[in-house]
Amino acid sequence: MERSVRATTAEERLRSRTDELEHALAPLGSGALGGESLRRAELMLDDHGFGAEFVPAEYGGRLERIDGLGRVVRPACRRDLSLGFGYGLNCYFAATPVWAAGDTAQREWVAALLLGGGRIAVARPAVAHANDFVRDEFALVRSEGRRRLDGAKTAVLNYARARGLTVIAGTEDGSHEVLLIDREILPEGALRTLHRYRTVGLDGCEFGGLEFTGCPVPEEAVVGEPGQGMGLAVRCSVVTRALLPSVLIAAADTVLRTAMRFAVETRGEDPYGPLKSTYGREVLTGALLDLLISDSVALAAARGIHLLPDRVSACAAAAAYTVPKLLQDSAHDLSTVLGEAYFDAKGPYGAFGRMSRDLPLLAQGHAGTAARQAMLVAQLPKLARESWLVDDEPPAALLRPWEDLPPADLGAVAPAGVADPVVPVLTACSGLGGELGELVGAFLGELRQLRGRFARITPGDGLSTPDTLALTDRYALVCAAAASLGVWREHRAARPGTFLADPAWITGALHRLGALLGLEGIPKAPQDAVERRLFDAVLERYEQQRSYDLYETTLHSPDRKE
Amino acid sequence: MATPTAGAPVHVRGPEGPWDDVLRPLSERGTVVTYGRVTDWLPEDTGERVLRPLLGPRDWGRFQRLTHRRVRDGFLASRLLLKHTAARVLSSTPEAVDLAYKPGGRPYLRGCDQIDISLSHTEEVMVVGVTRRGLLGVDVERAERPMVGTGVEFQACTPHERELLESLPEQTRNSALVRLWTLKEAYSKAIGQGLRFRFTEFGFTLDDARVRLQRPDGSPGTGPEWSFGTFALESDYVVSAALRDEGFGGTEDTAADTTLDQGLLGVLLGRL
Repeated sequence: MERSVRATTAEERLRSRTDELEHALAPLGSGALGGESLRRAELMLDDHGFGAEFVPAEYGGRLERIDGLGRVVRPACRRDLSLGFGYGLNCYFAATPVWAAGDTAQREWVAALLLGGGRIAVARPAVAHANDFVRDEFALVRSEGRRRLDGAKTAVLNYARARGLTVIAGTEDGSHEVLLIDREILPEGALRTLHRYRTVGLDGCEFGGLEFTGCPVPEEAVVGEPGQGMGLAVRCSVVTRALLPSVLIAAADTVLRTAMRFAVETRGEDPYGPLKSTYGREVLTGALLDLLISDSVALAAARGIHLLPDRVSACAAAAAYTVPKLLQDSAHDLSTVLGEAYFDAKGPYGAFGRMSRDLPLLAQGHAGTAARQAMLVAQLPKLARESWLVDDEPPAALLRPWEDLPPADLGAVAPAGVADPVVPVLTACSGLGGELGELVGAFLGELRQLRGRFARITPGDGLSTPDTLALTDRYALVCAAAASLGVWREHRAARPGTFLADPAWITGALHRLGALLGLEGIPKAPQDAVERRLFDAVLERYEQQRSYDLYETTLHSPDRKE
Repeated sequence: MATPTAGAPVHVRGPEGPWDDVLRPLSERGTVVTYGRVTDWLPEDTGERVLRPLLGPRDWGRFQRLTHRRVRDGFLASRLLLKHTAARVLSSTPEAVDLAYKPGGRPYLRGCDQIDISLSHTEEVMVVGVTRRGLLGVDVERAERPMVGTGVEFQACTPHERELLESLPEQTRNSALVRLWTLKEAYSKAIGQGLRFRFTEFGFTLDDARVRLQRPDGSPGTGPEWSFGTFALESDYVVSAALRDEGFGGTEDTAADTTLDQGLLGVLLGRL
C-alpha cells in the first residue's frame, strides 16, 4: 500500500496495484482452485478491496484506464478464471451500462455496492444462434399503467449472490430496456432463484436461473434513454470485447507456464523432449507469440476506448473474435508437450487441463462469435470503401502501454466506427526492408484483397453468407497483425533495447498470422535465429517467473525464491 | 446428463444426397458422420472453370500439384463430400464455404464456427463428421488392414492396451487393434494434433457399451464432455468418432444466413 500512495501516474499506480495483488494471491498457487480454496481466494480479494477496480476513480474506485483494468484482473485470472472473471471482471461487465449511461443516483448506488464487496450480475438479451447462456430474455410488460418484469433465464452468472442486477429486457414494441435492479428491495415473490446451471469448465462460476413474476419496475430503474436499451447494450459490448481478451490471456499464460514446468521438470534432458525437439520448441515459442499477438490487439482495443471511441468498435470485435481462437488452438498444441499429464485433474500440472477446459466457455462459443461477426460485418464494407489504405495511422499513444490516457467516456463509444482504428499501421510500416518488410507487404496485399471484396458489399445485404463471414475472420487476423506491428514499432521508437523492440517477436508473430491466413509468397518459417531468440525468451520468463504477456509482470507463487 | 454421441455413418451417394438423412440426425443429436465412395464423388468435369471455385484457391493449387492419380482422386472427392455436406448444413453453396486449414493441418470452416468438421479417407472410402456441439474428429481404416505384428502395438499402444490385446483370441486381435488405432486418430484429430500427440500417452477401452479414453495405466483420462464411438462400414471399414460437447446446450439452427442477429444489426447499421 505504501508504494501506491507514492505513485503519481496512473501507470505507476497500476503497476504497484498489480504487484500488490500478485503478492496477496501468492499463497494460492495457480490454476486449480475449487470449493473451499476458491472461497478463501474470494475473501482475499475482498480484503484487498478488489471491487474498487470496477468503479471509476470519480466514483471513489480505482478504475482509471480500461487497459489497466485488463491488467489488474490478471493476477486473479492466472490462478483461476472463476475467481478473476466469475467473481471479478464479470461485475464490471454488469456495471458497464451504468457507467456508460446511468444517472448519478444509479452510479453512486453501483459504486457503493461494489466498493462494499457486493456483486452485480447481468442478464443479457436473447440473440440469433443463441446457446443456453443467451437463449431466453426477460420481458418488460405494461399492465394497468405499470411496468412489470416477467420471464426466466437459465444461466446468469452469480445468479444467487448478486444484489445488483443489470437486466436487458425485451419490451412489447420489440425494443429493449436496460434496467438496474436492487434485489433486496423487491416485493416477496417477484424474483425467484432457480437451480444452478452446471457447465463444462469454469466449475467455480455460479451460473444459474432467475425468474421474475410480475416484478414492479419503477421509472428510475431504467438506465439511459428509455427505449434505447439495445443501442446501449451494443455500445457496452464494445467495452466488454476490449476486456475479454485479458482474461483469456491470463489463462493462456498459466497454460504455457504449466507446459514449460512439465517440460523442464520431467523432460529437460530428453533429446526428443519438448525443450530439444524442433516441434516441441515450435509449439512453446508459438504459444508465446499467440499471447503477444493477443495482448497487442487487446491493448489497441482497450486504449482505443479512451483515444478513439468513435472508431474502436471494429478492433474490439476483432480482438474478442480472434483471441479465443488463437489461444484455444495453442492450448491444444501445447497438450502434446504434456502428453499423459494433459489428463491430470490436480497436482503440479493439473492447471493445464483445467484452464484449457475453461477457455471455450469463456469465449461463449458460436453465439459469442456470431455477435462479434455482426459488429464487424456491419462496418467493414464502409471501412473498406472509406478508410483502409487511405486513413492516417492512429496516435502513437494507442499502442504505448506505459503512457497515461485521458479518462474514458463510455457514452461516446460508437457501435460501428467511422474509420479503422488500427489497420492503417500496416500502411505506415510499408517502408520496412528485409524479411519483416516482405511480411508487411504480404499483409498489405491481403488488406487490398479484403478491400476489394468488402467494398462490393452493400451495407445491409449479403452480410450473412459463409464467404462474407470468412472475410470477417480474415480481417480479424489482419487487425491483430497491425496491432502487433504497432506495439513493436512504438517500443522500437521509445523503448529501445526491450524484448518488444526486438524484431524477432514481430517477425515470428507475422509469420504465424500469415500462416493462418494462408498468405502466399512468404517463407514457411522464420529463420533459426528468430526461433532461438523466442525460445530463449520462453525459457527465461519461466525461470525468472515473469508473465508471458506484454508486461513481463513478476509473478509470485508459494514456491518462489524471494 | 447423457453425453450425446455421434450416430452410425450415413451414406451420401453424391452431391444430390440424400441430404435429409444427414440433416435429421444433425438436428436430433447435434452430430452426424457421413461417408461416400470416391468413385461416386468424382465429377465428370474436372476443368478449372468448375473446380477452382469449388475447391477454393488453396485446395485448387494443392490439387494441381498432386500427380498420383489415386491420391488426386481421393483428395478431390473427399473435399467435395466435405464441402457439399458443410454447404447443406449451413444452407449455402459449396462455392461459398471457405474450407481452411490450421497450420498443423486441421481443416475448419473459416468464419462459420457453428459447426466443427473432420475428414478422413482411404483410397476408396471417405468419411466426413459434422457437429454443432464442440469438437469432432473422425477416422476411417480398412477393417482388414494388417496391424498386429507390424510394431503398431509397441509404437501406438499403452501397456494397458497391450494387455487387453493379449487377452483376446488371436483371430480378433487385429480388428481390435484397428479399432483402437482409429479411436486414437479420431481423438487426436479432434484436438488438431494428428500423430503429434503420442499414441502411447492415452488409450481406450473396447467396452461396447461406452468407449472411454484412459491413461496408459488404465485409469480414467478425459472428462464426461468427451464421447467416443466406433462403427462398422459395410463390413469392410471401421470408422471412429471422438466428440467434445462444449456444453452450450442445443443450438439447432446452423444456417449461415441467420447467424447475425437482426436486432443487433439494426443498431449497428443505424436503423434503430
